[in-house]
Amino acid sequence: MKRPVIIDMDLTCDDVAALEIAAKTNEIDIKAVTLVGSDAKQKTQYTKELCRQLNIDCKAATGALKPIFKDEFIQRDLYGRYAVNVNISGSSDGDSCNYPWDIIADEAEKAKGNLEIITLGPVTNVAITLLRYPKVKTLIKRIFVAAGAGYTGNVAPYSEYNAYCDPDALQIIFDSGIPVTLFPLEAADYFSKDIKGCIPYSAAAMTAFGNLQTVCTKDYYVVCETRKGENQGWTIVDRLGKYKKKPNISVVTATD
Amino acid sequence: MKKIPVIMDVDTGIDDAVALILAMQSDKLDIKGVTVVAGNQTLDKTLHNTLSVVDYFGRKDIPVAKGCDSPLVRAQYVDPATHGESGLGTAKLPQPSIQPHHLDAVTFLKETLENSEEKITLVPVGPLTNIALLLTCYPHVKEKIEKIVMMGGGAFEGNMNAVEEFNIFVDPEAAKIVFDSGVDIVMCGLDITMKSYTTWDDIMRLKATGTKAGDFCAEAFGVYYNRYVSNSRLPGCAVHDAVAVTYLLHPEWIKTEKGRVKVDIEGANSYGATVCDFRPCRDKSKDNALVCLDIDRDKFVDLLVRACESYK
Repeated sequence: MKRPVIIDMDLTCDDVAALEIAAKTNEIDIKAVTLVGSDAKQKTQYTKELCRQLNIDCKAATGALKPIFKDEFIQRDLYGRYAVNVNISGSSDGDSCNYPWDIIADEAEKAKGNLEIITLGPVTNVAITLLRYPKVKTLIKRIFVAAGAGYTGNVAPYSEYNAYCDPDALQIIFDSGIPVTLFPLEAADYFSKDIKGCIPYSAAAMTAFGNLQTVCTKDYYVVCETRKGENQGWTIVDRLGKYKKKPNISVVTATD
Repeated sequence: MKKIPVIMDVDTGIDDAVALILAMQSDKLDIKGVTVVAGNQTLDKTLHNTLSVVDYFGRKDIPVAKGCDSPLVRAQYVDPATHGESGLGTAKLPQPSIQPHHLDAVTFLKETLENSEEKITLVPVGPLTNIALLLTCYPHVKEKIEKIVMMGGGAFEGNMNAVEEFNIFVDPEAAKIVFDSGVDIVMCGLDITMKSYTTWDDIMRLKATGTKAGDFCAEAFGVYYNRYVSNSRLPGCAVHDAVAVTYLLHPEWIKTEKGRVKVDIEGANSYGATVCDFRPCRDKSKDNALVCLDIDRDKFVDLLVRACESYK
C-alpha cells in the first residue's frame, strides 16, 4: 500500500535532489508538490517541468509568497538550479485558483486519514491549510518537517533558516495536534548522501521520510520562539522535561 | 442612483444588529451577503442572531454564511458581560426561518467576489478572522475588493486595555493580515465610535418610532446602555458597528485622517495595538488607511431614528 504524500518546498537546490529521491522511492505516491517563497510562482513552472522529467504525475501549485504574519521571506544565497535539462515553457496554466490549501484538503479527504505531508521549506502553506480547513487536522497522518535545529543553527546561533522564515507557521503546526516528526538541521548528519556542491539537508530529510523504519526519534516538548529578535526561529527542544509539558513532537535523533 | 455593493461580516452582537438594521433598509446599499464570525459571542450564537435579525427585519433574500468559530492563533474570548448570554442582551427574536448558505463564509466571499462584475466593499464589524483567511488563501480576489470599511482598533484609545480594542484583541494576527494586505481600508475605531453614542433620550426616540426596529433596539440597548454608563466616561452607549455603515451612507458627517496603520503582534504591552502613523515625515506612499476620528453625532442619531421608522 503506497503512502499518499504531499511535498511542500521552496525549491532550493537540495529540494531538487530530494524530489529526485522521492521519485525513486517506490512506497511514496506523490499527490502534489506545493511551492512556498517569494518566487514561488516561477518555481512552480520549473517544478512542473522537473516532475515531467522525473516521471512524477502529480499536481503542482503556487502557495504563499510571504510568511503567514511576518512581512517577507529572507533571501537565501543558494538558488535551486539543478543540472537537469529543463526548458521552462513560457505558458502559465492560469493557475490563479489552484492553491495548496485547497489541494491538501482535497487529498486529505480522498486518502481517508492516510495523507502525509513532508515540508522542505518554510511551513507557511501547511499552516494556512490548517487555519483554512481545521477539520483536516484529523485527516493528516503525519507532518514530516525539515526545519529547526536541536543544537547549532545556520541563520543564527540556534535558528535554522526554514524555522526563522516563518516561526509562527511552525508553531501553528506544533499546536495542531497532528503527529509531527521534526527533522532538525543536525539530523542531516545522520542521513546525508554525498551530493556535491549542495548542503544535503532536504535530500537527507527525504531519504529519512522514505525509510521511516530506519529513523530514530524521541518525543519531546518543543516550542518555537516566534518573537522578533536574535532567537526568532529557535526550536527549543525540552530534552530534560523542564517545562513539565506533555511531549508534542517526535524529534529525529542519532541512531544509538 | 447606483447602489454600493457590499458584503458585511458580523459577530451579532447588539451593535452588529443595529448596523444590520441600518444597512438593510438603506436604498444606497446592495447587500450581496452577510458572513458571520465568532466574537461578541460564540459562533453558534452569532450565526443564530444574524439569521434571526435578517429574517425578522424582512430581508430573507440576503444570504448568510457561517464563518470561523475561533481566532487564528489567540484563544477564544467572548463578551457576555456586554452582549449578554444570547448575544442580543435581553431582546428576544422569533426563531429564524432561514438557513445558513451552503458555502462557508470564506468560500462565499471568494466566489461572490470572483463572480461579481463590479468591485464589492467589505464591511467587517467583528474580529477579522474570516477576512484574513480570504485575503491569505485567495489573494487573486483582492482586485475585486473596492475597499474594506471596518469597525475595530483605535489610534489613541483601547477598551480591553489601554491599547487594544475588542475586535483586534480577539484576533490580532487576523487584523495584521488585513492591514498589511494592500487593500484600502477605512478604519472606524474607538476614536470615532466612542463619540457615536446614544443617550437614554436617544434610545427613547428609537422606541417612540413604534416600529419593530425601535422596540428591538430599545430592548437590546437596556443592559448595554447600563454597562457603558457605569464602566465608561460616556453619557450613553456606543453604537460602534453602525458607524461603519454610516461611513458608506454619509461620509460627509465623518472626519478622517490618512495614515499608515500596522497592527502590533510583537510587543509586550503594545500587542494588539492598531498603530496609526500620522507623522508628517512618514513615507506617505505606504499609507493604507483612512482613520475616522470624529462624527456629527446628532445627524448619526437622527439616521438611526429614521432607519427604525422605515420598518413600519
